[in-house]
Amino acid sequence: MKIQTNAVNVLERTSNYLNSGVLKIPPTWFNVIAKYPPRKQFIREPILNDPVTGKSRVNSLKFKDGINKKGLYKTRANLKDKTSGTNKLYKPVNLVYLEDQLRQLFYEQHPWERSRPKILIENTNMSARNYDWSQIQQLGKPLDGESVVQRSLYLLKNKQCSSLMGAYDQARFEFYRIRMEQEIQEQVAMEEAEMFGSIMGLSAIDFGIEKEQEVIRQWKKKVIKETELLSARRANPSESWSKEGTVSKEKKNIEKVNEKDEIEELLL
Amino acid sequence: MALNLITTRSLERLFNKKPIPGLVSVEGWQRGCIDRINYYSKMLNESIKGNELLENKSVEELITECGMSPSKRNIANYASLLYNLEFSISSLKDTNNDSSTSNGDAPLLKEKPTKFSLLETPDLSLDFNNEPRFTAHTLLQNAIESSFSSMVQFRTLLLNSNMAISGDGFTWLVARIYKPKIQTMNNQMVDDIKYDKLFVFNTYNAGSPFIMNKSNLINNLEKEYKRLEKEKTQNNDSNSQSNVSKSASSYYNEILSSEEIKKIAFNDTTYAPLLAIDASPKFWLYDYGVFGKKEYLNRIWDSIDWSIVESRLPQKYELKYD
Repeated sequence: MKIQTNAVNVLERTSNYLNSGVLKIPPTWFNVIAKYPPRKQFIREPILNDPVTGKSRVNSLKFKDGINKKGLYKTRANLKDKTSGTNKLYKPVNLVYLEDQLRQLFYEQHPWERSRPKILIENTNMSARNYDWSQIQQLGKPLDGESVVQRSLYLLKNKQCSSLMGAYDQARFEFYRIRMEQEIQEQVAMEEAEMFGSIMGLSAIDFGIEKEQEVIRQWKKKVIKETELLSARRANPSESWSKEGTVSKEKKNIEKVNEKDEIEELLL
Repeated sequence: MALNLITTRSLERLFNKKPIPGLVSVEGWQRGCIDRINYYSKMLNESIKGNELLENKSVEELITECGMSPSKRNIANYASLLYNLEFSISSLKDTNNDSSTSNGDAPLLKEKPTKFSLLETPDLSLDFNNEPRFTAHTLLQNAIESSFSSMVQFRTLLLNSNMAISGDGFTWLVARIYKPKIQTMNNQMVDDIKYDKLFVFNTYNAGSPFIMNKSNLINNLEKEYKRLEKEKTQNNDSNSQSNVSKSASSYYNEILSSEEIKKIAFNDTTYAPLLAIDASPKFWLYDYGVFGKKEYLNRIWDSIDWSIVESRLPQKYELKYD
């Protein structure tokens, strides 16, 4: 099908109608579309060079010297090679942010920072929020890995640190200082509260362990039962040959049903 | 008269001390220290008035003896407030040794910190103006470094613990004195006062390092230790039943050795105070303002007199294998 270009002329056509008097009142979208007119160029242009690194994005087709698996020499590119060499050229370039690298490094080095409770939208639209990263602590934002990232970028931008890693290290150490303070604060607050008679509930970790323990307890019962059964069978292998064996098999089946029920309970 | 004894004893020492230049102003000193001491000693003297037995006792004795009795708790409170304040002030010295500032008008804060100081980025420098080794108190320096692994860690712990106190209170550096009933090779009982480790802890309001108000944890530890001991003796009595099933509650046993439990829970362990830092806003509010506690603590660190702290340090206890 031919590329449909008529729709993009909606602005010109409407203004003609207005001029000629076919339309009296301009439609509500008129000004908006006039400000941001639709794109009229339909030719896709290949992006030959990466705008960030300046490197060429064209994969030059090179073949290894020597014989391939089939015992033949490869002398020219086949269809697959050709498409893979150029198909990237029309794709938009990957966005590379320095922040992402710092974030990754920080959370790799401090995996337990991830276990802190967090709101998912906390870090969205960081630039719109008038944070002043000349200090690492912000009003209305908890101290976390993002603070370290933003602070180290600020230090780098304002030439307070010469290298990225230097800036990151400084921000990290500031972060540690405040974390230490916070930790003792929590501890002392708890101590004071306990002294005045308050009784604390379970912590998140304790709660998790308790839940886990319930399951383990049931599992242990089951396992003991099973091992007893197994050892009994081993002690008397001829049992299954005897007439009584059929009875015991039935018993086992009943037990198996019970076990299934138990497993279902566990899953629930 | 014993009535005067307490008053003069505490005041004599303190009134001779000038306000500490660089730390508090003359007015701040009057409000934060002298007025408080006057008040505490007045209340203490009134509460023990007429009781000859108590009047003849020192402040320390009052704290330890009255602290255990519920009806005399108010006496212990005033005594401990008085003792704590006096103790904390006694280990302070002038921050700047220049003679030019000896008239009491030391360079205090020109501007009190504002609310913005709450979000201030911490200073990362690790060079402090005041460390025991600067004044050649290597014994103390070594003791601190062996207990807290480094001076930086000790300073952070000490000042952060104090910073975290929300109301009145004191942060203490104490030495744990534990008398092990071990006989040496020469069959001499170890009886000297020796410490094995230094600790930092907080007391709140009128709390005292001499009375450990045993919280539940400590009580549990004590019970656990007694149970372990009982079990041990039972095992010795009847070796036939040696495989006594371990109770599921032996939780403490898993994390601490019974020797360690004993050290924490029992009375033959005492804590000798070496240093105290006053967290009360009564002391720093006048000079530093509402948001100035951090600055106050930084300056307190600079004005700790390590020679006094070291003089309070008992001998180190060392296990020797001959």
